[in-house]
Amino acid sequence: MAAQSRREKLNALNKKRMDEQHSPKKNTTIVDEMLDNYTKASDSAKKAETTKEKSTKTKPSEAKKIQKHQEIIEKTVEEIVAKPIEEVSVVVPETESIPEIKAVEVNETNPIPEIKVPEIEKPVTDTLINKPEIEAAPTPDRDILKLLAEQYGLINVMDKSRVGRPKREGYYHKISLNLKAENLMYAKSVGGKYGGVTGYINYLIEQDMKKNK
Amino acid sequence: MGKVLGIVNQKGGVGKTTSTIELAAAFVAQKKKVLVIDLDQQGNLSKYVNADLSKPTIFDVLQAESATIDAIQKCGTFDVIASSKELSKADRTFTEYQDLFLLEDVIKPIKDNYHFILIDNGPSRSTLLTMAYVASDGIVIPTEADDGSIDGIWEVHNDLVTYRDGAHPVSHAKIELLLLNKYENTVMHQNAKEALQDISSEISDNPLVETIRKSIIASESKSFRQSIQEYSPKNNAAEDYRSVAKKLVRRMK
Repeated sequence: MAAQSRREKLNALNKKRMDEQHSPKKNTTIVDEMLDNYTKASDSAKKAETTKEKSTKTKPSEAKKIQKHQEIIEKTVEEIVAKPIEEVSVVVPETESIPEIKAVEVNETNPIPEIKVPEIEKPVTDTLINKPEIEAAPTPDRDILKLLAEQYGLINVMDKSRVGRPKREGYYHKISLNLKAENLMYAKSVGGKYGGVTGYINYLIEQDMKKNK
Repeated sequence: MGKVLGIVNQKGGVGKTTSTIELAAAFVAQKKKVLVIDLDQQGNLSKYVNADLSKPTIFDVLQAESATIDAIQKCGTFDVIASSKELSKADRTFTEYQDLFLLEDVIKPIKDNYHFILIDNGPSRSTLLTMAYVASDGIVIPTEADDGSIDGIWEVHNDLVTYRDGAHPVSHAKIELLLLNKYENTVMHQNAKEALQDISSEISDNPLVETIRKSIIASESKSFRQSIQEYSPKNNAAEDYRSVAKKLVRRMK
């Protein structure tokens, strides 16, 4: 039965390898993997931050400030409404004709329009740009540059001035990467800070270089 | 679905390896995708195409220690699965009846990836040769003008008939081509060609009979690790191989 098991073993091995080859993972590039790693890392960091915000013990002082600020605004609005409205005069150069601003009479037929309290937007802290957690991404346990070089035959090109960025070291001057759609979207959204998708990939590679040193 | 061609003659030195490389190169010239399997334990074909012998070989795949696609390597214009010296152990290793189908199993998953899969065989009657008969769709028999080589054709034919038309048929291969190598315009070669034509008419498969003109370039190109068609495309032998490949493509459609 040893022979049959050899045939079975070979067929199973071939089937396994063919399945691996035809699985969508085949289409992912090293940069895709790299982006996946970083996306996962940033997601986990984001989750950690939101749970921190939710906890009552460590409520950020910023929220308190906003609340206080809102109270002050409401108070001043009330004061303004209570005061009688005076005529407003504006000093303007003679050449310019500015329509006169008339004083508004307050009576029962013409009530004061409600002044809307301006909504105070929470300061943008956790957009994809300015993400400090990108720095805290895990270091892949391999030489990404070497793998990229093997996969795409990359050339080490120093001069990047022609694409309008300062001269710095780069390894991906002439490659075209087929990124997964989700990773491309992510890189596009994050990449603004780094000079687009290429800039972002540059940044990731630089990070890897630093970490692998 | 790709066609599997076994290059077979039990006599040595008739140009099996050269014919395999040149036919592969000629198929590639016709924009066909080609895989060559070196089933000869001498491994000359692997050497000529500069195959990486550190990669899994055909022996590893037959032993089910490696998958077929992991053993395939790109050598020049076509793909190759390299030979191994361990193939000399094949007769002792593959002793079961089911082992005869191993090469067929090796080829099955990648058959659709190629137009032609060529199997270069060693000059002996062995388990590996039987595996080649089982796995092949067609047989190419290279020969020279001497009687010994021509007798080899009948031996191949008789073996194939046993495997194909016997009580327990395991092969479906047909003899597609009788290839007279190192052909010169001499009486001996003309007689040999006539003999091949007679054989062809006697064999039920009615194979093509083609000649490849003699050329010094053939051995010169090998030392440069190139096929004749790469080394000297306008050479007579290169032209003959291209013409034979065209006829084979038409025949095996």
